[in-house]
Amino acid sequence: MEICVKNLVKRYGNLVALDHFDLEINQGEVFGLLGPNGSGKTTAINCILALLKYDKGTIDVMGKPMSPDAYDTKRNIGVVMQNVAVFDELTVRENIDYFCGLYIKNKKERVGLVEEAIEFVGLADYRKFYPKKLSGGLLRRLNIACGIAHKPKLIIMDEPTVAVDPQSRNNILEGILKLNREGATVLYTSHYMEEVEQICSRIAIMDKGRIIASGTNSELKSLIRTGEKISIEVYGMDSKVIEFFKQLPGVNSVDYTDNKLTIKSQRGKNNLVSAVDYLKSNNIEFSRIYSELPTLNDVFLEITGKELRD
Amino acid sequence: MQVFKVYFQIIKNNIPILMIYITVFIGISMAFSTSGQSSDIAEFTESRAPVAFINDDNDSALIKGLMEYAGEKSTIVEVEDNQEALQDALFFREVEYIIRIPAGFTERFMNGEATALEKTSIPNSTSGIYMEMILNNFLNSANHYIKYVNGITQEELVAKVTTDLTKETEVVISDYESGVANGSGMAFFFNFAAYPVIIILIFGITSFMLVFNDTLKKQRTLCSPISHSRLSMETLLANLSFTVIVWAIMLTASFVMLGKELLSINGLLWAINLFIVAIVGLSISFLIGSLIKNKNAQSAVANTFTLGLAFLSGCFVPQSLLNEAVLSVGRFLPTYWYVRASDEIGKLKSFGWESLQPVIFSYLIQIGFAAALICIALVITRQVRSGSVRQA
Ligand SMILES: Nc1ncnc2c1ncn2[C@@H]1O[C@H](COP(=O)(O)OP(=O)(O)O)[C@@H](O)[C@H]1O
Ligand SMILES: [Mg+2]
Repeated sequence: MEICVKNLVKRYGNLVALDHFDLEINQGEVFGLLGPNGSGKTTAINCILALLKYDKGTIDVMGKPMSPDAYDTKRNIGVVMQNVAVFDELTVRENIDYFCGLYIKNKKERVGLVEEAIEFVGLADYRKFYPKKLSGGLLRRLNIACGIAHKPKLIIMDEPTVAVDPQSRNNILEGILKLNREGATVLYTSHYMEEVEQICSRIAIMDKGRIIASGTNSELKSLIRTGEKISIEVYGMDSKVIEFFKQLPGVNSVDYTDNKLTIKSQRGKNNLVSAVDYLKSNNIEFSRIYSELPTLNDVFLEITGKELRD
Repeated sequence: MQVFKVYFQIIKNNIPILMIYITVFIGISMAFSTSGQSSDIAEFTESRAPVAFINDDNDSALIKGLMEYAGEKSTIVEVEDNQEALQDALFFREVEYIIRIPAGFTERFMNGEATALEKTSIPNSTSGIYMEMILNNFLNSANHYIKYVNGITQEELVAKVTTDLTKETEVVISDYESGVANGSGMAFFFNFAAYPVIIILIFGITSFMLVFNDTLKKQRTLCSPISHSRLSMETLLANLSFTVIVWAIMLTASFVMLGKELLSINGLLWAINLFIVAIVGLSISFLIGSLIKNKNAQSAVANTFTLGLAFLSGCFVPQSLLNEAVLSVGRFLPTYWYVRASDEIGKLKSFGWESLQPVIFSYLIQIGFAAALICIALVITRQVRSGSVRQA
């Protein structure tokens, strides 16, 4: 196991940022830690990296207890922090070389690694640029290159795609999968469920310092009652209609807000056709109607009673 | 040596600011040195400089003899003994050299104990240097008699010394004149040099610390397999190298300004003193660097702090012209002891243990200050390090 966290408790004064937090990450996984802002993702990562002292619990990384002086373990970890941390005084190439040099002493070996990292994040045209001259997305890519140039076995990334343009975001997500194919285990945190669904083989959902559910994407979705979600945009709706939908087989909930009718039903109950028939036969005007599978947001909503995104 | 490399990269980015201080310093020193060179020796020996004696001791035979001897070479004038009157007299050139004889001087001198006259002169005054030579000749020669003739009385002593000196002035001068000719002028230069040295160190070192200890970048470094002691070692080494470089540049500048005369024991002592004050500057920078959090604070602190430090210590205005209140504050500043050592070195004509003692004493006090400042800074950084890391 690459990371094993048990019963971790971290308090900031009275605030319990991590509340008996558990995490197990196996070798070769892309593991997603999904949770809204302030749920404790960064705190968890800082504890795992021994940057923060914690109140209770144990943290093992690569089979050994993690501590500030676990240098042999640290040698195999690559870190990409939530905030860009590079030197404004150094160029793109020099920055990557500096951070890579903290891990790799051999200068010749480093030259190759730095070049590879530059190619990897697509900054080849910006080698001699200073960070101040880079756009937000390129800066994020540099931030990533600095963390992974030394080819770590375990990569920890804390929200690397926040405030990034779609092109850079795709570049980053593909990059993560590529690193994983080359053998790296990845711990990836985000508050974007789409990203986590897209790249992670296993996911833990976190809220208020606790893991509230974990498993593969489909395992998580099977945890909840909703198996199908029908959305209809309708204008003018009386309670009779809502009552009708409520008695359809397997329907869990019906909600009408902002001219949008949402019907959630159990797995395997295909209610879309009966819904359309009913609306037509009653001459109720609707503009759009569609059926979706549940998302991680639905999982989060059903467990916590609130939306993932605020 | 990653840290080392980044260190000098950051310094490189700050070279324009650092250059300003060096340029201003050299400009000002040049202005001073040209203004002091106008009077030439031949002119002044005939002109008999006005000199004032202030005697806090009793009117002993020794002091009378000394004044009489000095009176042959200069014009002794009366000046009222208070700070303001003395400063005015110096300012208006009513007097060019003031000698204060401390209480108990005669007794200590006759017992062969270390004691000294307090001398004040106009900076770079050639008559001052001449007067200094005259007094030193008299006292050095008297000192010899006290050492080698047991139980000699003051009257005998004065008689012997005066005849010796009037007979073989030339010989005596070459015998005892081993210091530098323009001691007080050179001391003045070095006093002033402390200011650019300290401010350059503060700017350079705090710039590095601001950039390097920025929480986010520090976190990255802390995640890496670089050990804490290795990090401290590299930082220390980089800081020391930078200090040595600044010191070497200033020393080169002083060679350019002062010339060959620096190739003397006095010059060596000044170089050591300048190095020690550079170490003091390093420790001050380290302390400031662990306190400030941004660039604005940096320039505010660096400028006001260093100016205040330099003024109170006598880097700009000779200590002898500062009033007692300023000096009593100054004593608690390391640079005060730097200036003191520098002034002493300017007066040194012999280099025995006794004459070196006050210089070495001032060295040690400065080193003590540096050690204390570094300890305080270490305590502060330790507290910062154990606090939790706040993320945006
Ligand atoms: N240094 C700190 N001091 C006090 N509270 C903190 C500190 N860092 C984080 N917190 C709080 O702890 C909680 C978890 O924060 P964080 O781990 O940054 O969440 P996330 O990364 O999931 O957005 C938040 O409520 C945050 O305000
Ligand atoms: Mg965070």
